[in-house]
Amino acid sequence: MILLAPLFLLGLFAIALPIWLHRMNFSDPPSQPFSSVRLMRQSEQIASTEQKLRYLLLLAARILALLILAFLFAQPLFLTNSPLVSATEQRHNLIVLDQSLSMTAPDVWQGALDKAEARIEAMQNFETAQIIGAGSEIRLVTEVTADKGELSQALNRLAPEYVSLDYGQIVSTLDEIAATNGNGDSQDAIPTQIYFISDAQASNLPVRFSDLIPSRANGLELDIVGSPAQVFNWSVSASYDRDKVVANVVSHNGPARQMQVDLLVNGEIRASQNLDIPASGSALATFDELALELDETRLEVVLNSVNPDALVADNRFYITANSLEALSVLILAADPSLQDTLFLDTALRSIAAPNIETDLMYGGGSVNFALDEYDLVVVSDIASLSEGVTEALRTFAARGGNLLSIAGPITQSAGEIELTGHNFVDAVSLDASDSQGLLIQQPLHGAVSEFSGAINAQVYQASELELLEGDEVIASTNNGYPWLVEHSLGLGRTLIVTQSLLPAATDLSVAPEFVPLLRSWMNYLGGAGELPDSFETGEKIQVGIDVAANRSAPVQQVFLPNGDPLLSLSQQGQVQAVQFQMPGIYGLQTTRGEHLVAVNTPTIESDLTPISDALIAQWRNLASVQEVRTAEAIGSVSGGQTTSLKSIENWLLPLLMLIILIESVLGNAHLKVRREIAR
Amino acid sequence: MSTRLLKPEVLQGLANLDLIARSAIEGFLIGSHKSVQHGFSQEFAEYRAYREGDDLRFVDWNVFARTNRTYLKQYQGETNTHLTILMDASASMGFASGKVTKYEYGSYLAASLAYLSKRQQDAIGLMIFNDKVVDFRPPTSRSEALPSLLHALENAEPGQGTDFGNPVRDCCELIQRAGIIAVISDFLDHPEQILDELRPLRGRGQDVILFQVLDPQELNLKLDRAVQFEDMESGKTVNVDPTFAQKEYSARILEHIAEIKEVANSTAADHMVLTTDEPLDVALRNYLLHRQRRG
Repeated sequence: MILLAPLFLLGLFAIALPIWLHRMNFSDPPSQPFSSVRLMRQSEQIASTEQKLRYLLLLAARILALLILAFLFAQPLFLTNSPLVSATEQRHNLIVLDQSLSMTAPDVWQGALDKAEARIEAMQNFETAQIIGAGSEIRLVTEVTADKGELSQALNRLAPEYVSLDYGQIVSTLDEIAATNGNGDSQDAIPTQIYFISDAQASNLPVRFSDLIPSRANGLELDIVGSPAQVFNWSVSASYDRDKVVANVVSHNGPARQMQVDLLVNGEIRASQNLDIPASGSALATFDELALELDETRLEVVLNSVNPDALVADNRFYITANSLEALSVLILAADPSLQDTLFLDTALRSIAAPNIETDLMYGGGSVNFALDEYDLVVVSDIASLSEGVTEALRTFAARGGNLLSIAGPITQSAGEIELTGHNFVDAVSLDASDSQGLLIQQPLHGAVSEFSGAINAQVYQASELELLEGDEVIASTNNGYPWLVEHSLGLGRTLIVTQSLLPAATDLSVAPEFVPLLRSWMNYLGGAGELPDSFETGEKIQVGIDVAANRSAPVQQVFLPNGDPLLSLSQQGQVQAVQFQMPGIYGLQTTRGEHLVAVNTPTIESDLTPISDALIAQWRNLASVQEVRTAEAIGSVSGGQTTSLKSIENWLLPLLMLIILIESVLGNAHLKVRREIAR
Repeated sequence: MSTRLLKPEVLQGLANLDLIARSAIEGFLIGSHKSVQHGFSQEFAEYRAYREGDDLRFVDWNVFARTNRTYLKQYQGETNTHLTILMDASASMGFASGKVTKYEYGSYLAASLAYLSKRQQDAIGLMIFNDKVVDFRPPTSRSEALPSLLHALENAEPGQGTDFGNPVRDCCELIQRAGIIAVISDFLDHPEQILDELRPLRGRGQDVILFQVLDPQELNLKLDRAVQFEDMESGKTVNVDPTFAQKEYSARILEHIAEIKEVANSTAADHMVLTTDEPLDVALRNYLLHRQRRG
């Protein structure tokens, strides 16, 4: 048996605790004199024995649970024997190249290719292989083949990418591939060996060391390239805040140097600074009072490093100074002079972020406005809309337009919402004594993101909206009537407020919560605040249609740093996610205009510190156990056995659950006695 | 005042049994608003031939001078009866869950009974026993009988097992005259055995009253965890869990008391259950009723 994390066995000391506790309780009960035990003699011994037995079982269950828990953390692997792989049988190799950014260090990638080539050359005639690239994704570059020429040529199609790796995820995926020999067929899987060619960067290690050990492949051989211990690297990162850019230059294992840092705005140098960077330390450069114009949104910090700087890609850091266009909101009202409409208009105009521009229109007549010009539409009383406007809104929503629909007094008396197909139960007027408060039912919903628990307002009129399939109640009145509902209407987002905002129906429109609540609704419906300003290469962004929510994603198109659109027209309706592969400033086309995002190389790739020798030795030792045994067996007697590692986690976990269950039952039985006495 | 002085924990604070008995009885009498001596005059009643053990002070020497025979003058209310107290001093009587052991409570009761009887000019006797007779003071109406009896009670200590056979046998042999025999014990032995051992008393025409003294915990045993009980007489140990103590033991002790009552009935004896936390007046009142019935 091999323990991947033997230090966790120290947890076995915890067994002392239940033993100590039980000893306290289980030591012979305190002896005390009593006048006569004649009346107790016969049954008490039996009861006491039962109790002792139950107590021993409880102790055993607790000790066993702790034992298993400690072993689970220690991650035991058992060596099991399996029939020997004959020298004449087929053997498969997965030749995997690390494509992370750190592989761009001088000579490293070429070294990796050379090692892969050597491995291909060393293949026996009964062996097959596949070339696999481990970059932004695990890519099978070739099919399973024994053709060395094809394998060598495939190496030329690989190159380092601007991504970082997690060796644990890589090993796990490769393990799956090994189980099926890369062809999806696990039935006739043949022994498969993984050759992982990497620079063994410490920052790419997984959280759990055990993730580095394949369980289904016959073994993993780690081929390390480069000598990162002697490589120096400097990197730069930066942040922008209120006309000020702060750049941070870090020396990764490098000696003290003086370097120049440039700030570029829209591609032109705006300012430069010389920095004294200490050995293996960092230094800050601050560029303030930039007074950027509205169109000066693409910022770039460039570190003019000196040789030898291992990585060039991390010497450039991109930042954006986004200024989103104002949110354009159309308010459709039954009577623009009514109080609720005025409250809405005034409150929306008072919102500072997002900046909102409103147009107030009469919704009961003909459609004399272009809905597509607006980011979202607010309807102050849904039933007041004319048939033409209702139809136009339906089309607007179907195309991805966003709606805030309020059930005003006309809707309440109509008893239905024609636009969405909802019906109301009769409205009831409440006096001040039985007015209803507002409770948030979905605290994580974006429409109430600024609130928690309740909205501090009262409703004086109650009418129950009969929910339709797919409706989500975000907030309700105290008596359980839905108050704020998200309804699925086309590709857009639709929020329904089920009560009027007139002062006769609620005090919300004059409460301090009104503006923050409207701001939350505008942010949610307008899609603001959902898009970050920066990404790392390798990350993805959702585009087109949000399949999970069945509505439009905020991003419709992505523009590359050179300005070319990433998605063709045909792709826009099909592609659901786009990966940022190169650093630079990308443009995202959203429903509210273009949003710039800065894409930079992963910061963890800049640190080229290698995995320690001891850890590598342990990794090699554990990961290659099968390989060593197999190799010995191949060189010895045919008909022998090979050894493989088997995890027993799958057995221990159910056992632990069972023991915990037993412990609970016994513990309860023990406590029952005390409860009876207390009564 | 009277009630307070009848409480066992108050009596325990007094210096000695004499004072305890005096306090208890005075308190009891004041509390009862009735003189026990009422109807007991010191008027001459009759002459009686002298018998061994009689107090020579009461011999009528004038009659002796005239007739050369020894007669004793008897007065009404005097020596009509005598009280013999059989005091159990077995180890189990040493049990106490509170401040007062069963033996101490029994002693207070015995002393009070003796004091009361002495005031009524009854002869008083005492036999302290466990598995054998520890001390025996034959019934006498001599003035030093009470101090002697109290001294015996004070000096005795609970120990050994219980055997009613020996004291009852001695009583039958040594006490010829019919009187009242008060047995103070916890009666925790087998009821059939107790019945066998007490039955001879009734054959001698003795009026028997059984005072069963129990500790409150013996009646209502409550445990919050398992306890190992050690029998104070036999030394046997048994582990008792709270469930049994709560549910079954209560039923068993009540059943045992009922059986002891049955034993008393079958021997025409009175039976009283006393707990060491209750005042003595109930016991004393019961005794007086018993005494009056006897005349």
